[in-house]
Amino acid sequence: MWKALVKKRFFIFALIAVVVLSIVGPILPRYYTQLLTLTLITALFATSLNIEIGYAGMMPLGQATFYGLGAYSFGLLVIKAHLPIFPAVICGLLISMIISVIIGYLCIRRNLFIFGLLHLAFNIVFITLVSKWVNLTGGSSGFTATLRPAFLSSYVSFYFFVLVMVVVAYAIIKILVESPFGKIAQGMRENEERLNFLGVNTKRFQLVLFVASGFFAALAGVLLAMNNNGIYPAYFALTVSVQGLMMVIIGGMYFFIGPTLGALLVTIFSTEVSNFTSYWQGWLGVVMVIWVTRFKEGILFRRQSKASKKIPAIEMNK
Amino acid sequence: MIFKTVDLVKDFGCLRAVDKVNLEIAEGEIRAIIGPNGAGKTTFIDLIAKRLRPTSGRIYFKDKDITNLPPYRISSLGIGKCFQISKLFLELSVFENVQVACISKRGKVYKMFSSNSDVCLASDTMKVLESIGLSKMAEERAASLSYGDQRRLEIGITLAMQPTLLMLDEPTAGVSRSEGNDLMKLVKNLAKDLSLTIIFIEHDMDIVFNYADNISVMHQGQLVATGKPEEIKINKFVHKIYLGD
Repeated sequence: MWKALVKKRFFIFALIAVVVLSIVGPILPRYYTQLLTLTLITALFATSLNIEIGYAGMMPLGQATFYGLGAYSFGLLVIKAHLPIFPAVICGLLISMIISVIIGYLCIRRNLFIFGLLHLAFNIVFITLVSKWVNLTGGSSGFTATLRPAFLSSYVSFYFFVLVMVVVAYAIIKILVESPFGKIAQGMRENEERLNFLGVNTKRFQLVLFVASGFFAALAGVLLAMNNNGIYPAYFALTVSVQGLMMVIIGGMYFFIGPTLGALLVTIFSTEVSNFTSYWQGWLGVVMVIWVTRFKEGILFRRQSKASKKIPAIEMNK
Repeated sequence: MIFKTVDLVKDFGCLRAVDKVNLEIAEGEIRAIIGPNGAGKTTFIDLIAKRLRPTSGRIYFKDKDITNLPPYRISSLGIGKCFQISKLFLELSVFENVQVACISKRGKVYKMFSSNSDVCLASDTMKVLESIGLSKMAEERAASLSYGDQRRLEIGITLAMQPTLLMLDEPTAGVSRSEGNDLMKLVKNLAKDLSLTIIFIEHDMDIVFNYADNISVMHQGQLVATGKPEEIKINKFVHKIYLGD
């Protein structure tokens, strides 16, 4: 189980990243520490998405559904049911998982194209639901409330909390993708029919993968709700789903760390460009067009493919 | 009999592609299915492999009715299929291609918190690669193999599931005659070593007559003749099908 984590190269890289983030976070100005916190949450969201895209070849077009579900399940349990924070986190994640099983069961019917469209449709259903069901969800205004325990009220302590949560989540995802389950996922990405003829019930497998991916997206949603001390319909926005896809594609879907790099680049781009123009999303679209046409496998693939002839599927496991 | 079909029919609209085929295959037999283009051979194999649903009729494997089982279930029962066009995990290495099958065979598909090496020993995968002569190419990407080697790998992946009945759809299509012969020698040896029953579709008559124990001939969806290679060679109706009047 631990072999995936203690692979020398990955372990050293992860250790350096955690040490640097631990040192840099507290000494940065408040604005940048908060931005880094948000980047870590977004990176977890993008990595959850990549479990399906990069490893299994699925195209979840409505991943914001689980981002929002995590945030709302948790937030409503605190605000409406008055549960303490941490039991609400656990219950919120469980509720998100149960809903993801239902959504997954309904989405994974035929081919992966239909899957993507149905996933997107559910995203739209949930946006409408949270925007219009005012009594329960607060409608388009959402709810603002204290969603962090007292010991996480300072931005630095919350930053460390998010860092720990993201590192633990990454460790679990890394173990998962390095496991036999992860290898079968790669097989499905390459040839679903062949896998079916090798005794794998691919629909059931896709459902399990979908729920696992949804769980980590929901966890990112919980962290987002805590970060913002509130739950808002914007968490479910289609642009969130699209930005997640952008992060995965820009960073490199064939690399574990690709979506994290993509999240960092998209966050830097969106915050820096939004200082100059209100049309930053349009510029992000332009960057995406250039990126997809020039670096279609993501920035990491380009660099690796020049450095060595090893293939993404192998690189992915290192 | 390890395998039999009873009145197997497949209609595509008003076209009957497989017409009441009754086929019986004994354990350990190598059976070739031949026939002109459009005879229904591939459709028949696809019905057995559950790639297609039969319109009517039954399919039995080891006396068990498998007519309505999905592909992943019949694969688990011991029926393996090699496709006409290789279906590999192209971006994975040769080793990983076989490893995927090995994981499935061991029922470790949902094993999330253990290393690949813990549940599927490299030696097991390498044993399969050695049996198909690809052990030296274990680290190569499947997409970079020659077509002949891809056909071998296709057989290797299927063998890793330890089937008792192996179906090969035109195994030598697209490879040179010598490569085709090597491939069929390999198949014949494996069949002997692993006590496999084999059904294969083939257009190359030298291959068919050299390697098949029995031959079944299909024409316009029907099974029109079955017999030893020497019987089929002199069958006038088979001559007529292939050469016309």
